[in-house]
Amino acid sequence: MQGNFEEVVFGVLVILIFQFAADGLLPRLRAALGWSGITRRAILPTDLPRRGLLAVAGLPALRVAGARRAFGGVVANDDVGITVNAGQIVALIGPNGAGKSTFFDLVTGVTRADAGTFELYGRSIAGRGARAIAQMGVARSFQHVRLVGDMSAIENVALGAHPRGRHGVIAGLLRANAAEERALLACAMRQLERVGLAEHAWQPAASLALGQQRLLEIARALAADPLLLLLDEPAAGLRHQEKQALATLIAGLRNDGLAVLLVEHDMDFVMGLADRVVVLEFGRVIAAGTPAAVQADERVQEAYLGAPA
Amino acid sequence: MKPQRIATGLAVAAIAAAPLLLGDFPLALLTYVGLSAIVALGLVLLTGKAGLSSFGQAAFVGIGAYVSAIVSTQAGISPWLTLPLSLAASGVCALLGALVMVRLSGHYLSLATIAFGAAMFFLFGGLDITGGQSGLSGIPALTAFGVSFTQAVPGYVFVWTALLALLWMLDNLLDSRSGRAIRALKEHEAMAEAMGIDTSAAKTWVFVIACVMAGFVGWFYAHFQRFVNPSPFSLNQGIDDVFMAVLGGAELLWGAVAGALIVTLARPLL
Repeated sequence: MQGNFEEVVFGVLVILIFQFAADGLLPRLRAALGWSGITRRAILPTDLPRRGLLAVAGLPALRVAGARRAFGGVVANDDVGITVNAGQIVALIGPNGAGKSTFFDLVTGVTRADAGTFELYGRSIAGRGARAIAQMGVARSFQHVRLVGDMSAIENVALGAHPRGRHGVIAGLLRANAAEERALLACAMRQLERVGLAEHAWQPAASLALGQQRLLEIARALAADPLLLLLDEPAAGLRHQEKQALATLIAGLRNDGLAVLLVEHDMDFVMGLADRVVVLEFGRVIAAGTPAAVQADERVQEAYLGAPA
Repeated sequence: MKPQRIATGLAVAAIAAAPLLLGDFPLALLTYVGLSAIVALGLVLLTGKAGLSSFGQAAFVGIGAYVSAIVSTQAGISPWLTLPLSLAASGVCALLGALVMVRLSGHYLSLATIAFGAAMFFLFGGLDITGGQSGLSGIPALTAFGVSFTQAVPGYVFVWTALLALLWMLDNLLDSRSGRAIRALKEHEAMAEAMGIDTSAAKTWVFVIACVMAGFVGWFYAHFQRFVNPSPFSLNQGIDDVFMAVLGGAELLWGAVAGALIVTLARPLL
């Protein structure tokens, strides 16, 4: 019985320890001492190689035609066609369940289309997976922010530049990657400056406010040196001033020649910003054109406000 | 200077001073702590960083131990020559395991590794070539320049030097392009794929690294004990290894050292 009794005492101690330090003893001690675990590094003026300049203003960056996707009997996207030119902001709007997210997932390769052509600067991206499409230059943000919370803001942004680096695990283990690491962090810092978060570079991403976290997601997408930027409800949950700052940022990206496709619920935000608006309802495009034209469209008003009395 | 650097410096100084201050018995005990810490360190990477779980790491220690024990005894060659074999055997087994691992997650992954750990234990105890339950004895000692690492001080120095080197390497890794990808695996696999990261490759790397570290421990253990039988490679030990990582704190590399220290030293005290 002696041996078993020891095991029982040990087990009870273990349970007690986990009650008071669920993450383990050392992280608990570190938190008590107020250490963050983030090491600040010097940022040197260096750069990553950029993609060849494909973005010529006015050239179609993304061209989708006849996109179709059904889930069982529900046709989430039916014959959807959208073109986004370089240097253009296109907004995809529509009531809940209209198929906006499905369309996003089709373009980014999260789900596969049943039919349709998908081209990025003339190269087909149909049927490719999310990783391959990302590597080809499609960068995105998420409706529900997806950041690595305990990692610093700048490291989160550097994740976006992953396909632009080459050094792998062995080089990482032996620190044979110093030049590339400097370039990755410098690139990440430049994106943070672009979105106005440079002063928060070394804070854990989880410590930032929601508005800042959305900007951080955009910085991470920009770190990929994208040809096409997809923003999934970037203004959701932001305060008025934050929305204005975001609109200024996105307009600036357009002026840099980037093609931007955004899904948004906030009509005011979209109308002031987008060059073209595409309206989805029940999986089909019911209107497309300038913000003013779309706003005046009767079917759009019906879709949003219900049939006129 | 950052307080964490100072804390790390103090820990390294204490580790370096131990052979000067402690007798043979505590040093031998600390050698076992170091060996356990290396296995737990692999689990910190696997569980704490990448969000994967394995209760089968003791089996990978066993693979490293038996491969070296069998080859060095039967072929009569130096343990230094069998080191690459042990590492390769555990690495290849991990690669095969990773084919399954990348498709599983959560409880299914835990159960699969438990099944693997249990199966390997019975394999170690059931095969003729491993000596069955009675194990293998007469395994050559690890020596260099006339020093045998079965002795307390050389054994301690060897194991803790290896542990510190591995801590340094894993710290480097986590602070790199590949390391950031690994740290995204735990909660954001889909996001990582959308950033162009090959998450299957990252998981495979993590698992192979953890298992090769376990294989290294097995290799040293075989030539330190000069005797192996199945019991140290049981599923129970695999659970203890996870326990060390989680108790010490799987978020931190040094958590593996703290956990191994506490578990190994607390058990005899009770």
